[in-house]
Amino acid sequence: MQKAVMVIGGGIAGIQASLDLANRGFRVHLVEKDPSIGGRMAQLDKTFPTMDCSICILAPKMIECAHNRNVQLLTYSEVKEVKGSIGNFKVKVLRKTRYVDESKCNGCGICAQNCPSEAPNEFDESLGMRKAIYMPFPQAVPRVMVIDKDSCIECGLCDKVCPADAIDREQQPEEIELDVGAITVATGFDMFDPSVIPQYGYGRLKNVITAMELERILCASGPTGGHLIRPSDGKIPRNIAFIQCVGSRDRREWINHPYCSSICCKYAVKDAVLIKEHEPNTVVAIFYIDLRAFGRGFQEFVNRAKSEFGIRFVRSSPGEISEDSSTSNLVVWFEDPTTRTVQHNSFDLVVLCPALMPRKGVEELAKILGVELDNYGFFRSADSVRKPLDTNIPGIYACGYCLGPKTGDVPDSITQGSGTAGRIAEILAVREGP
Amino acid sequence: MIEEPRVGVFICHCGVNIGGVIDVPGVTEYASKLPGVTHAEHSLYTCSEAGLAAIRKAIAEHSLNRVVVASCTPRTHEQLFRETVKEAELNPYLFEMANIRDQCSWVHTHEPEKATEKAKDLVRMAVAKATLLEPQTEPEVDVKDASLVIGAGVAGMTAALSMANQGFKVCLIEREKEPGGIVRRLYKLYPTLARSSEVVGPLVKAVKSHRNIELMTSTTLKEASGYVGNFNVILTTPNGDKEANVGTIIVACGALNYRPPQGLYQYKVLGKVVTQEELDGILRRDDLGKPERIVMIQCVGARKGEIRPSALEAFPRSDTAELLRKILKARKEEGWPYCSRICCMNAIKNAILVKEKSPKTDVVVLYGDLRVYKEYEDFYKRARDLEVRFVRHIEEIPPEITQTPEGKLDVAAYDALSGLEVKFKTDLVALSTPLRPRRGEVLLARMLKVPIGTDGFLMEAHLKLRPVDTNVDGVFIAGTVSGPKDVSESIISGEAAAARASILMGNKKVRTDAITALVDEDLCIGCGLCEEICPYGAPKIEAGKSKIREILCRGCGSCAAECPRRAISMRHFGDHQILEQVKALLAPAG
Amino acid sequence: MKYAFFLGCLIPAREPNYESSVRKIAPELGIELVEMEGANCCAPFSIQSVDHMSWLALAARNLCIAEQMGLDIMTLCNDCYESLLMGNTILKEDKEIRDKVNEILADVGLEFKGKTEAKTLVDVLHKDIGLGKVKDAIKRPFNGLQVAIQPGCHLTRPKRIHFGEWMGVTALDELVETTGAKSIAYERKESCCGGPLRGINDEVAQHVAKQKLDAIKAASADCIVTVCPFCYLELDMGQLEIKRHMQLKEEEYDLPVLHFAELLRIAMGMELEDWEIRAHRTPITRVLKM
Repeated sequence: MQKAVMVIGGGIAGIQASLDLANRGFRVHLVEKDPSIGGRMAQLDKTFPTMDCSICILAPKMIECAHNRNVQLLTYSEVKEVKGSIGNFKVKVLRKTRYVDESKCNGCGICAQNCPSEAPNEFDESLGMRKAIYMPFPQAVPRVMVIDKDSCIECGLCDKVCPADAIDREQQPEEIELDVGAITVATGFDMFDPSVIPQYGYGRLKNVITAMELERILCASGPTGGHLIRPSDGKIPRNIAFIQCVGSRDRREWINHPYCSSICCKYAVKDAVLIKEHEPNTVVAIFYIDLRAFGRGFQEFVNRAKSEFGIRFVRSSPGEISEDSSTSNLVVWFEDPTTRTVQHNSFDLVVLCPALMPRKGVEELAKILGVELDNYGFFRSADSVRKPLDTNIPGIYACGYCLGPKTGDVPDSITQGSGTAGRIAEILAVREGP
Repeated sequence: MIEEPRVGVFICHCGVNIGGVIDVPGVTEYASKLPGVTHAEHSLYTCSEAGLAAIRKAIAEHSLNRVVVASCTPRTHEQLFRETVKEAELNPYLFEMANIRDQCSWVHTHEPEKATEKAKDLVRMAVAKATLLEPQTEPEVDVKDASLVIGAGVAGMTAALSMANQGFKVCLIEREKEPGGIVRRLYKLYPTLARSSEVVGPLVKAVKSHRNIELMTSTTLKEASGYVGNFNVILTTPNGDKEANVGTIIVACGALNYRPPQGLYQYKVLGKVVTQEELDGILRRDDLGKPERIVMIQCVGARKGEIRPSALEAFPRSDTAELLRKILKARKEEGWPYCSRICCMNAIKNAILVKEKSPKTDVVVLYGDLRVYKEYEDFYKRARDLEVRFVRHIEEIPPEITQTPEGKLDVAAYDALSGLEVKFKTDLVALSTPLRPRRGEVLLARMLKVPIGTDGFLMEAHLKLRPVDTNVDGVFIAGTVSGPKDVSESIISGEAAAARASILMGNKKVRTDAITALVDEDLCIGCGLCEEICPYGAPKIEAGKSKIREILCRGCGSCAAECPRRAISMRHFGDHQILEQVKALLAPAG
Repeated sequence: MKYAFFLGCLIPAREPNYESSVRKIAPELGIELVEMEGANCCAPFSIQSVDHMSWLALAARNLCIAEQMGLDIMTLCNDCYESLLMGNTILKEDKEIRDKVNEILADVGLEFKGKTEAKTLVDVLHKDIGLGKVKDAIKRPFNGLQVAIQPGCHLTRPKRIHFGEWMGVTALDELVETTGAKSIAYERKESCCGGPLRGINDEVAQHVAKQKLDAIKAASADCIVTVCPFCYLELDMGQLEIKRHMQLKEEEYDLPVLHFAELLRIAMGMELEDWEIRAHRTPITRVLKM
């Protein structure tokens, strides 16, 4: 039996699993495909229903991961091969090239200040720009720059100005082999691209954005410095609509997300409240089918949204969004449930709440692990009632959104992360003696 | 104060976060001239490996005996710097931080000169306190490698097995005669429609036969005392009281199905109005027959009333029983404020079971919002494919139930889509009611000093970040005791609580922060106000004096503030240390 | 006799035993105490020296509350007494200041009309209730108890507004003697206890307290009786502090300090509760036996 384990995915679920396993005495290899851990939670502004600043409560856990002696962070890395069985897995991990020496870089940022080349900032959902050499986000862990070779024009300025001599143009990808006793998968989710639903105009109409884009706009570390302004003209939107279930609960074959994504109703209400806190004069309407604010504290939160913040809830799934080209304002067409007539309302900004789906690349990872996926590409539980965290492979567990929309909010992801730590401890931490 | 202070000051640029606003070299120069300061330097990122190494080097080179770091927030970095100081063989509590980022450069970005002056003030204050810091020892206690799990439902059994498999001894107590909890009495479970015995059965078999688990049924917790690693519990068993000593406790005593008061929707007035729990029993006994129609009403006694989510904490003091009595009384009239999460799925499951048994029965579900989350949408579709009718009604007008002359029931509701009144003549009405907290939980919570939320369920330590921990170290919660959950969610939380508990037991020792309360026994008059006000149960009056159990103390300072004789002071935050900071602030700058 | 009961800040926080004794003896002496809803801090001497107008407004606000209740105020603390009495006197005498203060009070819908009096426990017992009635209530007089009273600075100063030269001291002497104890003379009987300097210059505060305690000890007192909670703390805790900080090993004062209300209560035949006994740093067992 090995005393090392692997966690694939450094979002909140993976971080919690790593910390619980590390504190239990296991050596944890935390593999994360992006250059920093943090996942989706790092991109959010605030979390429901407590309205905590998301990165503020996440960052201490991220730093704990970095400093816990039992955790080895393997960021900008991917799992390439898995052999063996429970207790004895042999895993090949590919460390991709940052072209920056992780042991030398102290994240000072002087290189980025001097870099002449720009690219869309993925962390800000491409709403803003970053340099070709960049820090994924201000609180990134590890605090190391990374060069995006596709945007790099090889001018060499970064190398010239770097005080730590950390630029390494010759860096090669490195493959390492690790022996682990068990694996937890926590690869999280991607947002569905709503441009596939042409009648909502995403990608075509400037002021139709996704909820994650809204989070980045509201966030003080985002592309607008936390000012609520709309993309077309930078004006403060005075009339905002949220549209729920864009892609979720949708049985059309080319969309294929018939499930409920579980967290969108909750975060929409949260975002609506956040918007009112930023701009009390802005009016917010939420268009929904069923308001799935379930669980402890959420109904109370919705009550508050209605009574205290005056948020309008319209039970109707809009048919179409059109644009007034002179103002770039949007017109939402929907059936008014109380009068049963077709109405249209004008909005400055429309926020789509898209379905949440498995992360890109998960299919490949599942093949490497030999783990089954369900019809929607999520990791399939061995038994959704009795063994929800187990996969079909003994020794490989899953937690967080990669398991599917099993409520998907932060406390449940954390519980699942701890849960997989428990499952692993059961098998690998058996003590001898009476 | 022991020796002559030799303070080292390390000022951080934090990239441009601090350095872009504050004249860091200037502040460093200023710091180097402060009384008590032996050495001052600045670095780009003090928390980087290079920065930390520089601190260690300076401590050795200049024989520093106090360290001040002026940088970001102690919330994220204090631990890191303390450890660095420790590695340099200096007591980690001889370290003080000045936050010149969040509290200075970030909030005064547009006034660099004033921000620099403020940074100097903050550094001067930190240095003043540092000169009066004393070494502290972190209290450490042994953790017994045994756990008490209260409640042998699916969550409790899962937790017990997880810990037992790791080799820890588990005492699993259950107040009923048989383990299995609420799930044992259910018929079939969603979404697989597995029989509940398929879930409960293997768990019960496993806990009964595991050599590390002692299952005690018909047993309740009578008394609990002690602290993390060392809880003393007295259990009331059918054979008298039994004492046990455990390192951790997991509370998994579940919740109950709410029974509506008599008369609500004619419950207990007309025989054909039942709860979903009772319908479950009917299906299990195969007692359904072939009714023409069944109407289900959702959210009976749930999602009622306006309770603000911000007022969520109630401490288990003498007023909790009163508080819960008030809540329960209100609930009797209005219902519970929360959404119970599982009732929509539960109704759909029962609807499907009815259809399977009796396909010609018309099943109508009256709902406001149908909260079918996750991939359970497929289950919902299955019900619709079986022609279960889901009718959204206007919730604000509760349906009216009357008896027809033929002995059937008439259900009158308002259809939300058309706005018209609809009437259903039905053979049976099933009310979907929420899971509600057990009344006995109040006593349990008081015994263990775990807070209860205004909804009556036990409170987790942090709603987002610590869902299975409680405020009391060593006490964890699992299952529906902290809020409604379905079976898989309960099982996951049982696993999680066990994982967290086993960290403590696996490490055999637990340490806490040294910032704890200190009692001057000469001044103490044993009035007991500290014991009453402490949220963590740390002070105890023994022989007329207050004794602080440091392992429980969180350093909140409430006792020190409350003490009428000023007999309690806080280690590392003594009056003299804080007053020194005040004096340093008011002293002429520069 | 009904009074608006002004407790102040210190007694509820640190000396609830003073309050509890007053509440126990009041009904036996025909005193009815009515709560002053919404009363604020009296604004003691320390605030007077920082901002005169703020002090007057704060004191006036309390006086207005009592005016609205139609009652006189009874205080227990010398500082509260001084603040309210002084404030009341100034506002009654000086129209210009009164108008200015009433401008401030208008913001909260109050107006000082000068219809109430500010009294303290000693006032009330000596003048309003009368020594005769107090004596009648004594059921268990002390036998040979030598009491050194600590009248406190603000019972008698400034002389202009307090009742007569040294009368405050005499009044307290007489009240103590109704209990059967003897109120002894000692050097520095009228001097300060050192309390106001606590927290500002502890060294001087302790020095002043030491002078007092030395004088009391030299006069062979069995105990000290105070009316002001500051004096009480300074002299009770002071004995321990002096012993520690001045490191005087031989100087063991062992002088129990009681609130006058407690002394009266014991003499009225009532038992002190366990917690009330423990609230005294220097044990009072000796007093309870005499």
